[in-house]
Amino acid sequence: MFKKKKIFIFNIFIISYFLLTSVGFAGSQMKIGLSGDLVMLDPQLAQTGLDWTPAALIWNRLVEYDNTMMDPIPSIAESWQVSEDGKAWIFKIRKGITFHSGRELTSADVVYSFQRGFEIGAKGRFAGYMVSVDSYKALSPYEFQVSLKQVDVTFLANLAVQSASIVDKDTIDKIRTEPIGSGPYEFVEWSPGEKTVYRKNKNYWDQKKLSEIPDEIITIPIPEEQTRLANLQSGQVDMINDVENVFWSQIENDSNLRLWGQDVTASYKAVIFSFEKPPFKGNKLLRQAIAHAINKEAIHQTVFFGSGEVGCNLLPKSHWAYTEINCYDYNPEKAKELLKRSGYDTSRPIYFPTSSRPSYMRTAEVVQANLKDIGLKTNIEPQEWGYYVQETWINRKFEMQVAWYTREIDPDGLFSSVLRKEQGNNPMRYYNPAIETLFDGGKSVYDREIRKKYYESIMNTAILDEMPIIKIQTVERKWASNKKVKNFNILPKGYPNYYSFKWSG
Amino acid sequence: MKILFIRINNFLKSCISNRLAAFGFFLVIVMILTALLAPILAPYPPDKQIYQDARQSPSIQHLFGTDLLGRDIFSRVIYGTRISLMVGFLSMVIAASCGIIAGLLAGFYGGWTDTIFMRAMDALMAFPAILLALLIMSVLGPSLANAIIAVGIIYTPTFARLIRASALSIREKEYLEAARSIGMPNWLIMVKVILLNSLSPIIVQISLGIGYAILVEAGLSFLGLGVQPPKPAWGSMLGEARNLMVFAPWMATFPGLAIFFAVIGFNLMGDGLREAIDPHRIEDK
Amino acid sequence: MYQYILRRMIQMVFVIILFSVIVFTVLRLVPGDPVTAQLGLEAGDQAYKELRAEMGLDKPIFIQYLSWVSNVFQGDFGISWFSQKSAISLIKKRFPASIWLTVSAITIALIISIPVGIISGIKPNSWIAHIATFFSMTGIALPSFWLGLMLILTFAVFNRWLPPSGYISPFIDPIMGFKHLILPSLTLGIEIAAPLTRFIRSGMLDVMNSEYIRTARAKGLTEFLVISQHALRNAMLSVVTILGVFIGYLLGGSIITESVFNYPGIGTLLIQAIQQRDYGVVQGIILFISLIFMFINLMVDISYAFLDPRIRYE
Repeated sequence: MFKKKKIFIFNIFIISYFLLTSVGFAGSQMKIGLSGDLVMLDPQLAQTGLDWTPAALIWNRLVEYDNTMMDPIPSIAESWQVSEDGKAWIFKIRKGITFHSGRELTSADVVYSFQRGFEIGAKGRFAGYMVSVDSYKALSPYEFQVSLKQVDVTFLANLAVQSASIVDKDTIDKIRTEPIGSGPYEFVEWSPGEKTVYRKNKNYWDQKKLSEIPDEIITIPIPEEQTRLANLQSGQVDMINDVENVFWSQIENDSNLRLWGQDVTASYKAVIFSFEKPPFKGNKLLRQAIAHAINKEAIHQTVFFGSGEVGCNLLPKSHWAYTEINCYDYNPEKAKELLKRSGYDTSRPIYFPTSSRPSYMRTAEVVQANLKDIGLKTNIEPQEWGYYVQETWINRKFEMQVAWYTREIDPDGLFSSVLRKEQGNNPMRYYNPAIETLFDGGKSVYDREIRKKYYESIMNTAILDEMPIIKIQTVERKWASNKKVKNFNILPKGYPNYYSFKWSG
Repeated sequence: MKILFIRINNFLKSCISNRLAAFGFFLVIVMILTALLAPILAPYPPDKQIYQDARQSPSIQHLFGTDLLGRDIFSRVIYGTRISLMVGFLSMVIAASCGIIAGLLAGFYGGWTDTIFMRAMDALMAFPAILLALLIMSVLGPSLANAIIAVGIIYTPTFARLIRASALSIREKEYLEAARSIGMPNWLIMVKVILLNSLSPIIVQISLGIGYAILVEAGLSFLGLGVQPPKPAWGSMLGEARNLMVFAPWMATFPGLAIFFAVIGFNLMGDGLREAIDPHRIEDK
Repeated sequence: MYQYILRRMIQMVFVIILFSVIVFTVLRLVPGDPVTAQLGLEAGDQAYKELRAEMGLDKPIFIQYLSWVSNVFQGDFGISWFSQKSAISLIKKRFPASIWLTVSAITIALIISIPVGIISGIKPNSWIAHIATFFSMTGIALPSFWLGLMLILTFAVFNRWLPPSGYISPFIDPIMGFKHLILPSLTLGIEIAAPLTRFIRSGMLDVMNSEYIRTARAKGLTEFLVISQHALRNAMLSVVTILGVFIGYLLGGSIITESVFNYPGIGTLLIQAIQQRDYGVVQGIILFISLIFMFINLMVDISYAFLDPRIRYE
């Protein structure tokens, strides 16, 4: 009798122990399933969208994006003023911001981050965004000054980019393994391929924000779209990124889930050519032939399920700077003729490496079939994401590739880094001095009508004539989550705004 | 030669009694014919993309439905037969040639050659095949040809073992003495006697091996490490279909079934051959 | 008997050496250079030279091999070119998941194949035997990744009964952990059970037809005793012998199964490393798996020495 009682109590013990342990982490925890693992923790060297998450969570920048990406909100910079001629900016640094190590953040850290960004140069994105910066210095521990070479309407918004994160000089050697920043979350660990863990920074300067966000964020790479969605549906994760078009209707019909989209998208898919070596170097006719050969409508219907907007203008139709230009049409006959005139030896297949991610891969397959129809052979080489970024994008080992741009919404931001000399989004290494002047002009005035004219000329020269890039269509990016995530916004760039969402989990 | 014919005759006879083997044989014949007659049987070219027809479930125009890019799955499965057969057959050619040479040398010369070869073969053989294939593919790079080579290498030890066993047993027999005494050179003896005697087990192994090769290649292609797109390999079709399974289950069903029937066909046929040709079989594995 | 064990151990050493040479050579043949992988293309000659010397790549091949071997002995299996972490630490993280999967899969496989195999061996014409043959034939021909996909569809997508992927350690959360394990171990278990059933069955068949069973029957023992005392023991003996090979199947099969279920074990680590051309990790994993594999085989061989009286009294 007694024995039975003991066993009974013992069992209760065991069961409650298991129940308690299965509750798990004591605070609120948000799990995000992402389409891939992060590639680079150093925000000033990062090249891909997946690295936005650590950058936004661990570090701050002088300003952060608002939801339109045109009107930045104060962050490290509490306020700012610009001189009459638009060239001198003074930022007031907020007092009391500390790095996760406890040290206070001052203008010296801003200077250091700028310095580092410029030193990194073409290997990162900072120098490209800050191309109009002439000089910068700290006026006092809480005042930072930047002098521009000429008026640059994009300058302020550009201070919100990943690579403009303010980094910690003291721990800079460990930035890729144990990063320290001043952001709302501290880095806990990164298990490559498994998960990344971030814990709330209790000393974050924006205390009000802290109560609205989860105590812990865990990101888990789940590359297979189907699996990622299934994880969301079964509750394994609370939010997932980049939901493929196939699944949109399914999610909309699920009352437990929400689909988050963008108001306007600055994201687009394109085919780009390398100007550094043959066959595309110096062979404009070949590039134009391919432009006429690609069946954008087919890609639009099959790869993108009819979402997004087909076009050749790098600006979407809803953009204020959009002008109608004379796009090339889908014309295989003309393509064949141009191909013949280009003199390219069609027995030689073109090297066409691509990321193995489905939207890249399928686009490439359609393009391959289109080119086969005009007699051009291509050699698609699917590459795993990390390898693709390293070899094909950064080391530029390609003749032709599918590129997916997620840009800023300002027209300059939209494609200056694509077409300007040696910029982060110009692996084609396309360079045209006339275009450079046009771009400089385009961002030197605030008047939208004048700016429109500049961009129209750029389109006519670069896009319609020289063709380093063939835009296929804009890409709508959607995320999905359960009901615990509220107020979630996706920037036109396709990145999540981690500073505006609320967690009720 | 005559022995071979008699054996095949036996096989066919027992086929009629052994229905499973007959079924396997039938499947294999169907596969071979499909591969040969692919251009006639397939209603569309395998990589023709008709985007207006994309993602359609099976219908009269598209018996197995279409895939994401509007390609006809029925045609792709048919052309996929060619790839599978090519992989199966060529990899067995590689495996058999390398294995036979290794086994002959080991079995005939014995001693150190034998021990070293056989230990190496044992190690190779027991080691997980997929792992070996992955290792080889990671060095050579993903492609159809490399997949064939990888599977060939993996299957070599099986043949080597077989020939060696045969060579060892033949070594002692009298007619070897007899042949030598009339002045036949060594290598001729090896080839004639040993090979002819082991012809039947070799054929059995080839049949089983083709089934195995098809499975391994499908796995590699599924992982993206084998045949590259747009070639219509069944394994890569399954890999592509993965994300769309909920909406388009036909994309995954038919290639999977194709793999299944192909492998089972060769397995059944191989088993049937084995029983027919050598009822008191020397069981290797 | 001890002679036998000693011989096996020496052979094992030989095989390990052979294998290490193969892995080492193969990895050197690989296209792609760890130095440029780390530094990129534009680092400048000085940086390359320094890194090369640091990695020991400028010494003659034989010295490189020896230092590689000594590293391995000290537990250094290489560094990931990609994330700078040591291969061993990455493997350690994933290892428990793989163990759980393997053990569950073996359990499932044994539960299926032992009874079925034995019965169909004893009574080769019964309906069980026919089902067994059908099952094993089908199972061998069925691609495991297809089976896995179908299971996911049925249990995780069309009905939300089980999670479609991932892993939680059952030590942390037994219920969820178990749920995550079911589908992958079923897939892998069935894949293994098919050839295993076949093997047990033919082993039983051979034993049942052998001389000493006839003797036992002639002695007048009941059928039950005949089977349990004599036949089973011998059949199990042959299963033990083949266990080494089946561990091989398991290790191989788990790679694909893990990939289908996005299961964070060593298999997915390997595939990811291959796709990323991260040969540091590839080399580490291959080495690790081979060592485990050979160790298990050695254990099997040694236990065989104890179990098989013929060897025991050698």
